[in-house]
Amino acid sequence: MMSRTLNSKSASFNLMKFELKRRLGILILMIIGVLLICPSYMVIYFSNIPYSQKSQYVSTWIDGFSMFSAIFGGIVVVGLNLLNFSFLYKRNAADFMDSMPLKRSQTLLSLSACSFIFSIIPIIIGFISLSVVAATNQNAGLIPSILLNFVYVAVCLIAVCVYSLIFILASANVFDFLVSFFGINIGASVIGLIVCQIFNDFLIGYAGNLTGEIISRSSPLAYIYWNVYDCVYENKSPLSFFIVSAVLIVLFAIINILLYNKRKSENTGKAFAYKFMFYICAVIASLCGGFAFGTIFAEDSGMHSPLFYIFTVIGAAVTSVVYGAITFRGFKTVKKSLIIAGISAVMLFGAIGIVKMDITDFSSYIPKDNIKYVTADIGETDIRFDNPEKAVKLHKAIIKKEGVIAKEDYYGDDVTLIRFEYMLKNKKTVARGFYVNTDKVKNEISDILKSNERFDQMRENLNKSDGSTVDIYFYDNDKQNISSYLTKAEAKEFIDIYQSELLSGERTVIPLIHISEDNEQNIVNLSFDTGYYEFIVDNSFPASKEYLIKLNLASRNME
Amino acid sequence: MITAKHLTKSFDGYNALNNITLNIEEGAVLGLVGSNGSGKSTLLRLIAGVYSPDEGIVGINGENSFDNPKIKSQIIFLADTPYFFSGSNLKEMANFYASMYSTFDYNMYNYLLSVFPLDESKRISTFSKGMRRQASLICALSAKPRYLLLDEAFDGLDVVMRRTLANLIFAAIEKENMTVVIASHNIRELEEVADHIALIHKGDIIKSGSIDDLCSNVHKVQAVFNDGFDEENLNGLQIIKTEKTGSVYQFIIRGEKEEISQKINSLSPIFTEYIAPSLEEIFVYELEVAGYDVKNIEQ
Repeated sequence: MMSRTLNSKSASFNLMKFELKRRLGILILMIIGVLLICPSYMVIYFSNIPYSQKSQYVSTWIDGFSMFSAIFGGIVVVGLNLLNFSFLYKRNAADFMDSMPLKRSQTLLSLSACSFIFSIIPIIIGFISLSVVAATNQNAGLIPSILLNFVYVAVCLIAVCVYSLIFILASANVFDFLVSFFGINIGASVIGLIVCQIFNDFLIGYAGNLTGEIISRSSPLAYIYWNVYDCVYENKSPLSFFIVSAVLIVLFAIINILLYNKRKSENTGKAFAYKFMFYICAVIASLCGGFAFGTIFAEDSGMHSPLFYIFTVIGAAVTSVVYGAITFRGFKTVKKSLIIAGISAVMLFGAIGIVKMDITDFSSYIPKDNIKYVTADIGETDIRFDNPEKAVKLHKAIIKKEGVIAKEDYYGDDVTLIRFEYMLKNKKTVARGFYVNTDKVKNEISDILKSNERFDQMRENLNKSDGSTVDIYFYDNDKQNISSYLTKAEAKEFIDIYQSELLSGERTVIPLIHISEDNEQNIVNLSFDTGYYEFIVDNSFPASKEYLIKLNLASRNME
Repeated sequence: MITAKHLTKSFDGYNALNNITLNIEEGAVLGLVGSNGSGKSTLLRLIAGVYSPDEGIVGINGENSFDNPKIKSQIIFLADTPYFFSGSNLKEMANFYASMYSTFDYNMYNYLLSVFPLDESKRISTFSKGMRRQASLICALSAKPRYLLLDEAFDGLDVVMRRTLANLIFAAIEKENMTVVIASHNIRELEEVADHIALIHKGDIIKSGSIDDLCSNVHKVQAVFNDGFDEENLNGLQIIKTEKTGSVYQFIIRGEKEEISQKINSLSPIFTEYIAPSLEEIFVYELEVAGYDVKNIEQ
């Protein structure tokens, strides 16, 4: 007997094909849009660029197009996932799709694959165009970089596709999806910021650059986009991104299969197909709401004031109740919402308590034997020390000396931000930042500013600079502000003279933020694309001063 | 054969179906009737594999249909509100059915297009309610399923189209030995199509069988007796309902006609009349027995 059944794999493939075909119009529009950007606009733009600069511009385009593709493709893949799975939110649509001769896992795979394929097609065409433009502009060497960037984008889109699907499957209507997807992802980043604020308030040495790291780990979405940016623009090694993304994709795929297979068709239209999503959203909402209330009402002393804790509890309760009322269209869940608010407040206060105890000795920790190198930032371009002795000495002095760390975070006459970043032999980094009363550690700072490492690095950065000149700002003998330039060779000579004069006497050098009004007119400032340095050239630096006068920089500027 | 064995399904603590056992023979047309929320649509969704049963088995020949493409490829379920992809036309929907069901027959599709006068290139969203119903029936019948499940199949169809649909169903049964299950509130419509009827109430099948059997087993008797008549004299008969208007008694009695007339005649009535109750009346009486009484609802 002839089989009456269509192979369910074929049916699954047919479903994907059908969904793609019926959105063909939008796909064509997207492809035209991409082709208008790349190559059309790119080629027109390139016709006005000198041959020598084309390589740099192609490179900039690759980065820009990659990031654009990741963001645009991400929006498309989430939107299309929502459209493809919107049948879950309508009774008759769910009846129709669920009665089709497919296994549930096949429906899931077909529709999610359709979302990914739909969003990746225009991007593939864009990257092919980019490669062709690069090759025809004698930049064929950039093609591996284009391919690598395409892989970043593809990995990013797969991850966004499977990640967004979790929210779509756990929701019972579009409103639930919007609240949970944006609420959890934006909320997680806000919680990341709250954690940073707690660290900043209670941990001595919390460095601002940790904020980026914390936010990048706040949610899978933040992690994915942060790392795509780092790989594309910062040329970060992609290995860890690929490994973590692969793990996340597999994990989310498993969660999706479990959620979809267990998702009851009869849950269509109710608030959240899976209740856990409501609880997660409610906890995040009440945490953020509570913290916002507490911060607003205890503006002056923040988390150090009892007012903060009182208003955090009130804020958490209000936010939680309002969120519950919106989700369930009424005040049936007030009791549940209040319990959630209580849990959120306890979580927040618990986090503050744990941070305050500093059980990891964060505030006093200084890496010891396993340091590969350390960079110190004292208001100039970072100084790298392969021998960490001088930087560690300053770090120790900051922690141990009485009154060194400023109580308030501000740049004042005698306060500056000093940061250390330790690169450890196990490739981990440890970063610390302090607002320091520089007067109390001026000897240790002076050692750093007088160090060979500082001057060697100035010269190295000067060599790396793409420009042929260095900007210079200083006051002449008539106390007139001169803004001019030095050639690279002149800048190097000035640095040599200044260094020899600096090391010839027993001087204490302090950061220029700490400078007195009298000394302000002795500042010489060198600035170029790879470095920024400040020098005091007072009467005790006659040779350096003489050198600048001899160059007659004021007239050079007039030219 | 469609089978349901000890089938139970509940939603948030509400028992939609309660330990139902049902067999529907190949080539039969079963009408499912029942009150609102009785579980008719739930039973269809369970047979179609849309819902998974909490307990028991439901499917074809003892094999569960839930998440079973082999079984589901033999079933087409049309819900009470037909669904079409947004912006689609009939041709696209037919193509979709064809991509899902290998049995889809474009000749049949073209024939049905001539029967139901619809423009296949027009967007279905512009169709009226009845036209949408027709569009969904065209797709379903063109796919030539072995089992066709229709929820409120006649809803929105005019008299001519209802007749046409009934004829098409009969033709499909004759040619393909198709089995049809139709859920409806309208018993009169079902009476024209179905050969078997099942009455569902509060998740239980309280009555089922062929229409002839159901009708021949319930009798409406009107009688006038001499003074001194006592209802207790009719003990032994399965009286479903008794009503008295003036001196006229009206009994709804289940059982063999001969046995009933013998018993009533033994009480020497002044007047007796036997009226064949309609299917609708029979179900109303059965529902009253089950507690679903118009009077109770009005109270």
